[in-house]
This record gives sequence, C-alpha cells and structure tokens, in this order.
Amino acid sequence: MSWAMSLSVGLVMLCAVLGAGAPIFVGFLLLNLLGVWVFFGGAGVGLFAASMTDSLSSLSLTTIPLFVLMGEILFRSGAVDVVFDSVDGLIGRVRGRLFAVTMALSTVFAALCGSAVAVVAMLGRTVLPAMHARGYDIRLSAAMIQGGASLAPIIPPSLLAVLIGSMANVSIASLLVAGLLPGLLMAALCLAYVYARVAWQPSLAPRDDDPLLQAAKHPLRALVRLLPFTAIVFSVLGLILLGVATPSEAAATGVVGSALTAAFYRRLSLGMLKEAVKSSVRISSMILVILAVSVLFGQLLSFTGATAELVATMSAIEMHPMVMFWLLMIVPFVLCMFIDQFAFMLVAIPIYAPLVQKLGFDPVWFWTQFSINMTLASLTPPFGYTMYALRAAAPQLLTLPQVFAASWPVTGIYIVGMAIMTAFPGIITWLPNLLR
Amino acid sequence: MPATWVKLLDALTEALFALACAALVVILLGYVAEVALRYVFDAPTRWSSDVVAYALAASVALALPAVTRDGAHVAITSLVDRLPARLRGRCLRLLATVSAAACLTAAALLALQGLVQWRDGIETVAALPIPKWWLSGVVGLGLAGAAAQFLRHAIWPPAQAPDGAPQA
Repeated sequence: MSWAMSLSVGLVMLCAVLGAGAPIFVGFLLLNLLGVWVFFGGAGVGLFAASMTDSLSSLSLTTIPLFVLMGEILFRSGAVDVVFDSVDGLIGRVRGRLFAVTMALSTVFAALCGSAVAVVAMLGRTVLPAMHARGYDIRLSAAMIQGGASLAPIIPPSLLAVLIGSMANVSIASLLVAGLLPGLLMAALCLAYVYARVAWQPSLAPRDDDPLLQAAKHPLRALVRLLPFTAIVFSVLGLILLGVATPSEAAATGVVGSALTAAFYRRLSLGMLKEAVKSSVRISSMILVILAVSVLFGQLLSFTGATAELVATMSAIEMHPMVMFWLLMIVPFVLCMFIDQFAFMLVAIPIYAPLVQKLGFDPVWFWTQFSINMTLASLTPPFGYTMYALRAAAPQLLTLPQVFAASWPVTGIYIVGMAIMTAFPGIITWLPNLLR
Repeated sequence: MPATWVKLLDALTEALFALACAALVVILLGYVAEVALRYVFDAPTRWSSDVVAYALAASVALALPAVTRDGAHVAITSLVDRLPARLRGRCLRLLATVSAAACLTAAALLALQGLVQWRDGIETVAALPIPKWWLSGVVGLGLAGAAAQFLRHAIWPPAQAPDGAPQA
C-alpha cells in the first residue's frame, strides 16, 4: 500500500472512530493495532509492547503528574485564596479595576497551575459574580477571564509544553522557559485591549468607589503574603533557568513547595493530600495513555514512509518560510474549531516535526507558537474547553452565545501576539538561549 | 450474580488505583531524594531515575481501570450527545464493546511479549535493571482492567448498572 493511501485510510478511520465518540486513546489504539497487523503481522507484537512500555516509562513525562499535583494541592487546599486577597490588595483604585485584578490573578495562577480549565473555573466562580454585581460589562468580563485563563498553558508550568516537547523531541526545559515572556506579552495585550475599550466606552466598567474594596490598603502585607507563592514559582522556573534541576525535579520541588505553602497557611490536611494525589493520578493517566498510543502512531507513520514523503512533498513547494509558517498555523487553527485539539496535536506533531527541521525554524520558537495556537483552539467555538468551563462556572450570569461572542476578541488578541512574536522571535527564544 | 461480578471488578479496580496513587508518591519521593542527596549531600543516586520511570508506567497503567469505570477518558462526544436517547444508548454500548476489544487485544499482545521476555530472561537496560516482563505485565494488567470496565459498560450501561456498581 502506498504511503498516501495508508495515511489517508488511517486518518479517515481515526476521524470516524473519534467522531463516533470513542475515547481518543481507543481510537489511536485501534489504528495502531491495525497498522501493526498490516505492516508487521506477528512480528509486530514486540514493537507494539516495546512502544507502549517505553512511552509509559519515559522520564520526561513524569513532569506531567507532578505539575498536576502541584496545582491540585494549591487549589484544593484553598491556599490560592491568599493569592486572590493579596493581588486584590495590590491593585489601586482605577476605572475597571477588576479587569486589572483578573489579569494579575490569571498571570499568578498561570505560574502555579498549567490548566486553563482550572483557572477559568475558579475565576468564573469568584471574580465574575463580583464584576457582574458591580456593573461591569459581562461580555468584556468574560473575555478578560478567558484571555487570562488561557495564559495557564503558556506560562510555565505548562502541561502543553511538556506534551509537545516529548512528542516533538525538543528540550522540555527550553519550551517551558520559552513560555514566560509570551505569556506576559499576552497578558499585557489583553489589558491594553480592555483599557482601550473602556477609554472608548466608559460605561463598560464602573469607577470602583466601593469602600469595602481592599484596594491598595496594605500593599506591603499583600506582597509578604505572596512570598511563599513566589518561592513555588522560583522552585519551578528558577531552578530550570539556573540549570540546577531538570523539569521533573523542579516539578517535584514545586509539589513540596505547594504542600509547605498550604501548611504555612494552615490549609494542609492528610485528607486533602489524598484527594489531590487521587485526582492527579486520574488526570495524568488520562493524558499519558493517549500520549503513549500516539507515539506508536508516529512510529508507524515513519515506517510507512508517510513522514519522509510528506516532508519531500512540502519541501518541493517553493514558498517563503514565513508563508509556510502561517500555513502551518492556519491549518490547526481552522481544524481545531471542529476537532478536538488534543487529538489533532497527536496526529499533527509527528507530521510537523520533520517539516520544522527541514524548513529551518528554531524548534523552540516554532513549538511555542504552536502551543499558543493550540491554546487558541480551546477558545474558539464550537468545541473550546475553556468556554464550556466558564459557562459551567457561571451558568446564571452567562449564556453560551455570550461566551462564544466573548472569545473572539481574545482570539484576535492572541493572533496579534503571535504576529508580534513572529516579527520579534527573541521574545520566545531569549530566555531559552540563556539555558544553552 | 452480575452484582457480585461488578463488586469484584470494582474491588480490583480500587486496589489497582491505590497502587497507582502509591506509585505517584514514589515518583515524588524519588525526585525529592535525588535533589536532596545531590545538592545537600553531594551524593547523587544511581537508582532514582529508574525507580521513577518504572513508577510512572505503574501509575498510568494501574489507574486505567478506574478512569475507564468513571467514564473519564477524553472523547469527542458532541455527535453522540445529539442522538435520541435510545440510539445514543446503543451507540455507547457499541463503543464500549469496541473499546473493550481493543484494550483486550492490546493486553493480550503485552502478555504474549511478557511471556517471551520472561522465557528469555530479558531485563531493562538501566542502572537498576528489572525483568522486562514486569513492565509489560503491569501495562497489560492495566489494559486488561480497562477492557473489563469497558465490557461492564457494554453489558450494563451506567444508567442500568446492577446494585453495587458506581455510576459513571
């Protein structure tokens, strides 16, 4: 069977199985079993077993359960309430103050947890009702929350960076660190957007004169209360940047730091720790089993010659690399509106990885842009996870069409951010270059 | 009889899940020990990275039956969710059957390979080698447990589960 035929048949089958609602890992497992049987017959048993066991015992992937555990401890213990109060206390009285609070909170939460869904759920339950009660425009509020929560998969600790790094064979430490400045850029762009809107149309945000607000009441105390969280961020990002620890070791110290922080604020209990471990095991098992089966999918692609032929075909097209870059970005942006971004990523990365090499892109720059693009997929209707999580967190305040409408400006902001990082790649590559 | 079967399966699933949780704790302690011994006592270990790698395989694989029982796998259900209730039920049973068959086949392949590894005495290539069939066995066990849970959903969908079976 030719590579084009086997690739087409394989992808159509995969889409049909996944579209019918089968778990993603089952879809890939079926395709792998069939591929192994067709191409190797009985001799494929060893390949299949070795691929599964090697993928599941890959050291770099231990970062995922540890990052999840770190976030679980902080969120389940309620220690993040301290972040909430402290950030609230640091922002002064300005028009649309809660927009700034939302973005600052999102940035801090993003540095403590890699899941946009967790952050959007928390902000949707806490900040959104306060914004609504004070007369903030609900659509703009929803946009800010979605924009802020989407920083979580970009700013380290990012699960997306670990997944992409392990699949594309790029330094996970570099990819993690690379997300920091783009995350801060996106936060700044979101703030610039919201304050431009408020300046143009002041009715979108009230002037906060509420005497109950903690605005800049005790900034020094607020800063001191944030110190333990700063230590957690340092133990993850700082240790990687200093070259002292691998991402997995940094994640483990982050878990210890989270537990100590929870203990410091008297929120640590054995029951909470047990629940955090259980939840982390469930989440990471769910993610890593998909990754394990998708690795074999990539190996089968190489074996059939599909990878090499695709690279040869794409390389034959005379096109400016930047045009190729945007084409490679537009495909996932459009497709991920209709198919699950996780499933897409698992299919696309083994195909994209050799192309990135062939086209001469800096792999850290390209895959960071790709991860931001994947973050966008969870923001765009009709299948974005982040949108549904926000709607689920505040069903009385938001309708689904309102959430959908709120997601478009954020999508635009993130695309502008990607364009800026294309013009100034140093925003992504400067920090990782310090590691080399 | 169905309730007994389901209770047994749940007990096994819970036991495997407890082991999966213990494996995550091993991963954490392994790294913490490595960092502490390396930077505090200047005595890096030879064993921690291997122990952590084996523990990861155990943690992911042994949690699979519980994740499957709870219907927590990532899936694109937007089409199935739009079907009328009766058709949706049939579709979910069919999917559960296909999923069970896929997991069982994968488990059988891992068991076959595990037998070969046991017969030939193959060990992992590591500073702390272990018989390779341990890894194949653990991953195969997790997949077999997931297959059993899928089969349970195919026979008794969550809405019609017999007594003692948790609702997914």
